[in-house]
Amino acid sequence: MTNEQLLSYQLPSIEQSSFEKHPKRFLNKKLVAKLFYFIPSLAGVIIPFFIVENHPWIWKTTGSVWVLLLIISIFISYKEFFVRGYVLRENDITYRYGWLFHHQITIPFNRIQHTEINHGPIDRYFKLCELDIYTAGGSSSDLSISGLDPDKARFIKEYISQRTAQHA
Amino acid sequence: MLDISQPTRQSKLSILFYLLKGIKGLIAFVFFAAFSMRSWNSTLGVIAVSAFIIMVTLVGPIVQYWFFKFYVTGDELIIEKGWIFKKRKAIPLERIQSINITQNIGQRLLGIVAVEIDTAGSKAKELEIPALNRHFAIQFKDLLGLKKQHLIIDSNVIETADSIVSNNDMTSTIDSKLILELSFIDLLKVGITQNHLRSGGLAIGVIIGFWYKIKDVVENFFGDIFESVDVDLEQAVKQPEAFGYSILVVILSAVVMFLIASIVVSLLMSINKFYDYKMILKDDHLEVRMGLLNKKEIKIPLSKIQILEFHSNPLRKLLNFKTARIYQAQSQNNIISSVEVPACHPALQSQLQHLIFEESIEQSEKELLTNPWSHARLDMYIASIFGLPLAAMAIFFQYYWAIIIPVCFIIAIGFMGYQYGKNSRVIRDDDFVVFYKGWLFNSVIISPVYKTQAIEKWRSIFIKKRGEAHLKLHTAGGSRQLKYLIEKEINVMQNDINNHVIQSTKNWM
Repeated sequence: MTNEQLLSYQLPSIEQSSFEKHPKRFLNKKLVAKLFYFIPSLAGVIIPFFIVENHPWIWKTTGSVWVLLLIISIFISYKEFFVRGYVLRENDITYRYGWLFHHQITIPFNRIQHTEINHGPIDRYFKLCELDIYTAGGSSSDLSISGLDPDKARFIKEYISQRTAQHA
Repeated sequence: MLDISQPTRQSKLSILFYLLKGIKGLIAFVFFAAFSMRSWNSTLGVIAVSAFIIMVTLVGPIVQYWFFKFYVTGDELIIEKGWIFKKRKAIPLERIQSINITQNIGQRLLGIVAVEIDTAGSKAKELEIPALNRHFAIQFKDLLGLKKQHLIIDSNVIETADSIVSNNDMTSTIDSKLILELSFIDLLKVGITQNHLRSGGLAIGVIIGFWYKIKDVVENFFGDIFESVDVDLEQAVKQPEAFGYSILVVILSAVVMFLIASIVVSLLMSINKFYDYKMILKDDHLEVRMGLLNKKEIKIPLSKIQILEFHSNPLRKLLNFKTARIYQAQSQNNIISSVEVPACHPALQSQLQHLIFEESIEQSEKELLTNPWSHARLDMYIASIFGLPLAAMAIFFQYYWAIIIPVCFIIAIGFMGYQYGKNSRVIRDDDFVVFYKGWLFNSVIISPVYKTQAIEKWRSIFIKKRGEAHLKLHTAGGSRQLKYLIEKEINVMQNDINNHVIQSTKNWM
C-alpha cells in the first residue's frame, strides 16, 4: 500500500478533465418539454383571434411575440444542451450547465449529505432521470443533474454513496 | 436535580400565554367582523359566533396546555402535543445542536420563557416549548446539555464512570469568560451609526401604511387642519415664483424631518434589540443575551460557526468599530442561524476571529482582484433603466436643462460601482478564504477553507469574451460571491480550494 503525501497543488485541475455529455434524447426531451410549456400561453393568441374582430393587430402582435419567445427559448435550450456536462473524479463531482448564464460547480464527496434519483412522466417516456445531490446548509449549493441515463444515474449514485460513506 | 423522565407539562401560565396568542389572532377577525357585518343581526348567528370564539379562546388554551407534554426517555427527548391531531416528536439528544431561551413581550408579561431546541435540518418553531418558568427552563437546558455530554462520553467508552463525574464537575465549574458587554453609551453609539436610510425608509413605510388612520386621529382632535395646508400642486408647478422660497423651505424641512425621524427610529430599534447585550464564552460555545422587549438568549457551539463577517459604514469608521455577524451551520428557515455582535473594536475583532477559528489570517497567498469597470458598467445599465425614461421625459416636455439630473445620477451610480469594484477582492491564505467587499459600506467575510461545501464559478454569456467570471463559495452557513474576477485565476482558486477540502480531515461541523 502506498501512502504518498499529496500536496493540494499537485492534484489534477478540473480543466484538464473531459466533460461527459448527456444522451442525445435529453435534447429531444427538452425541446418537447419547452413546447408543452408554451402551449397554454397560446390561449393568449387564440382568444383575441376569435373575440376581438375589429382590431386584428392585437392577435397579430401577441402571435408574433409568442412565436418569437418560442424560437428564442428553443434556441437557448438547444445551445444549452451542448454546454452541459459532468466530470466524476475520484474525490469530487463537477457539473457545468447553462449557455446564457453558465455555471460550473464542484462538490467534494466528503461534503455530500445524500443523493436522490427522480423522474417525471416525460422523463420516463424518454428513459431519462434526474440525480439530485444535497450538501449541508441552504439549497443554493445543491446540485441537480437532469437528463441522465437511468443506469448511469444509478451507477453514479452508488459510486457517490460509496465514497461519502468512507468519509463519514 | 430536575427529573423529566415522567411526562411533564408546561407552566400553568401557558394557558394565559395561549390565551393572549389567541386574542392576538382574533383581533384581525374582530376588525373584519366589525366592518363587514354591520347589517348582520340575527341573534342566533351572533350567539353561534360568540360561542365559537369563546371555545377557541378559552377552551383551546386549556386543551393545548393539557396535551402538551415533554419528557426524556433513553437517548431521546419526546414532545407530545395536540388532542384531535396528535403529534409526537422524538429528538435524539445527540442531534441537539443548541438550546436557546427566548422571551417575547407576552411571555415577559407572564414571566415565562420559551425553550427552542435546534437540530440541524428542522424548523426551529417545531421544536419549541413555549411556556416554562425561567428557573425550570435553565435547569432543563443544563440537564439536556449534560445528558447529551453523557451520551457522547459513553460512546467514546474509554472514560470510566469516575471520570465522567469529574468531567461534569469540570464543565460546570469551567470559568466563563465575558467577551463583550454593551454599556448604554455603546448602545447609543450603535444606534447612531445604524444605516439611517433603511430606518428612514421603514418610518416612511409605516407612515404611508397608517396615513389615513393618523389623519383620522389628528382630524378628530384638531378638526380640519389639513384643509388649510392643502397646497394646490398644479398651481405650484405652473407658477413657482408665486410661492417664492416657501417650497424650498418645505422641501428642506421635510428632509430634516426625515433625518430626525430615521435617527430616532434607528436609535429605538437598536436599543430594543441590543439592550443588556452580553456575550460570554463558556467552555466550547458562545452565549449571547440581548433584548429589551423581546429577550433572546442564544447558544452557539464554536465548531458550528461557518462564517464570520465584519460590516462597516462611514459613521462606524469614524468611531472605529464594526458590526460582526456570526453565521452558524443553518437548519432550514432557522432565523437564529446568525448572531450580530455590535460595537466591535479592532481588538475585539481579532479576539473574535482567534476565538472562533483559532488561527489568524496570515499574509495572503493568492489574491483575486475584480474589474472595477465591469461593476461600473453593470450599475450604470441598471441606473439607466430609471435614468433614460426621465431623460426622455425631459426632452418630450422640452425641459432640456433637466437632462442633467438623470445624467448625473447615472454617472454617480457608475462611480459608486467603480469604487465598489476597486475595493473588492478575494484572498486565500493557508486556512481562510476572505472576501473584501464594498467601498463606503464595506464588509469583510471570513470563512475557513475546509468548511467549504461546494465551489462554483458562473458567468453570463456577455462577459465570456472579456474572460471574466464570478466566484461563489457555498458553506453550510450560506453562500458568498464576488463578481467580475478573471476566469483563469478563478479556475486556479477553484481547484485549490476544492483540493484542500478533499484532503482535509477536519470536522466542518
